[in-house]
Amino acid sequence: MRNLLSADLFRLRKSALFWGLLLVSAALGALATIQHVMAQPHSGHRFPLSIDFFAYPLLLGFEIAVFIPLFFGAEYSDGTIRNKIALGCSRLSVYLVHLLVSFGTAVLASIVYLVPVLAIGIPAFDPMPVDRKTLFLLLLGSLALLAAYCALYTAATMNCGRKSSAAVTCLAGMMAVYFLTGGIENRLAYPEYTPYHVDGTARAVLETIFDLSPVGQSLQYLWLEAADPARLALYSLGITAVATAAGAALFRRKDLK
Amino acid sequence: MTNLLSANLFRIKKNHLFWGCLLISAAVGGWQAIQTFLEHGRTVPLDAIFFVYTMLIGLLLSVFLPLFFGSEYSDGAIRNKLAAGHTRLSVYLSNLTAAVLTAALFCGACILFTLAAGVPLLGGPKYPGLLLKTTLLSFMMAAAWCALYTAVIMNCSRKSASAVMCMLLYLLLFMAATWVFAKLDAPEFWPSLELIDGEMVSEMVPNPTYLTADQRPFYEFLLDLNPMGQAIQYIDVSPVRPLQLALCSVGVFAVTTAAGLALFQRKDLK
Repeated sequence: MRNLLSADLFRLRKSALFWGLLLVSAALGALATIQHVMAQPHSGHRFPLSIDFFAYPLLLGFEIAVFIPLFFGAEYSDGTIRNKIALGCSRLSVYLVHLLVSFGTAVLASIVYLVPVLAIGIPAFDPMPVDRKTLFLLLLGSLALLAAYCALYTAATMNCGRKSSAAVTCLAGMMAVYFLTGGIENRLAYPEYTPYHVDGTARAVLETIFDLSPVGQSLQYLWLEAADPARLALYSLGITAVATAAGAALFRRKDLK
Repeated sequence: MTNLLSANLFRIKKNHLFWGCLLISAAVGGWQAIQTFLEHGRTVPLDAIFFVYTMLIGLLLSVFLPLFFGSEYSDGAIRNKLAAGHTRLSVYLSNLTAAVLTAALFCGACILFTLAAGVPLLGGPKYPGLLLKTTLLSFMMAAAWCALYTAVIMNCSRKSASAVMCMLLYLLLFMAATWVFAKLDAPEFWPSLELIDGEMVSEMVPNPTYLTADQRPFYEFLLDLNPMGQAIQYIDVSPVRPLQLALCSVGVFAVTTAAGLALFQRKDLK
């Protein structure tokens, strides 16, 4: 397993896609913050730092939907996976190492995003309107969310023999979830005493779907509206566990040709 | 060229992804009508939900076109076509034509099912003339999407890379369109709450980011040039600048096809 990990990390270091991902994350962090710094004088009040800080789960949800299938999908087209298994590595360890490396990449890309946000944002914006304990919980929750994204994309990539279809599945899946979650958010946002306001069981169901959806969670972090970060983190860990169990089970039976 | 086109159409007919996308378009059209009826009864006219496909078509094509035409690279079909004596121009144009026909079929399926479910549930369209005009404009927009994607696909020899690029292009245009639309849509005045003598007083203050009369045409042009920006306008049934929209679609189609062709002519096909 350590050999597999060091092989993946070596390939990562040589991958233009990986460096591109980091570059895009840093650029997005800088762009978002600079845009808000420039808009601040027009708005008549100071923005909180959180305006850009917790955008990384949503951005990474899109970025690694491209990175994971292209980086790990290449192992199928080049026959690397077959070689690894022929050398005696178990399928489970191949799978878990990929998951671990993709999670590490996602965390690294988030840090790279946060560097310009903090460097420009701390002097320019007000501090975040949350106490330390909540901030810590939110950070932990967002890590769990990144793990959930990685687990979902890894499950899709490892069970899809073609790199192009893996890429389309992950990215189109992310977009579909994004639009559906936006629709749910719209439904929930209708004010009370209007004919379209949803309440009762229907509201509870929609709210649970919104909390379960990785995009819904990302939006709650972005808006600092995560009422119960611990519950969201539990949902994320649940998604990670289920996606990994299902993905690994399918991958064990997969005909690698 | 006719041979190339009929080969493409034959391959499309046999393609599962094509039938899958067609099914999705049809389902979206039918479902939109049924859902509107269930939620609002007969109060919403059919016209208001007629143009859902304009938002969908860019996304569907960004998935279908690179996977379908991109496999010509991985299977060596493009090299075979050239070796059989076809010019690069005719290969490119026959792919583009097939793409436009596919787009028309996707739009058509959505419209057909919107009508099939919508006319009995919501009643016939109120402004058929307007619908026809906007439909025509939206088909030109769909052709512009096809030209954009074809230019990317024909110049990218890896299927996975062209799939990712087309979908990211869609996302980029989507975000650009919503940003420009929000800027144009911003109110000239907005309420400002102030605390005076312990009482909240609401006052209308001018919005400093409101676009002035001489800035607006530029942003409107940006919105019209972007196929996704056009889609946002078609959703509302009656676009304000039909002529400019049509010209923008033609312009995008012509420029991207010329650029894509020029690059494809020089491409090393290995």
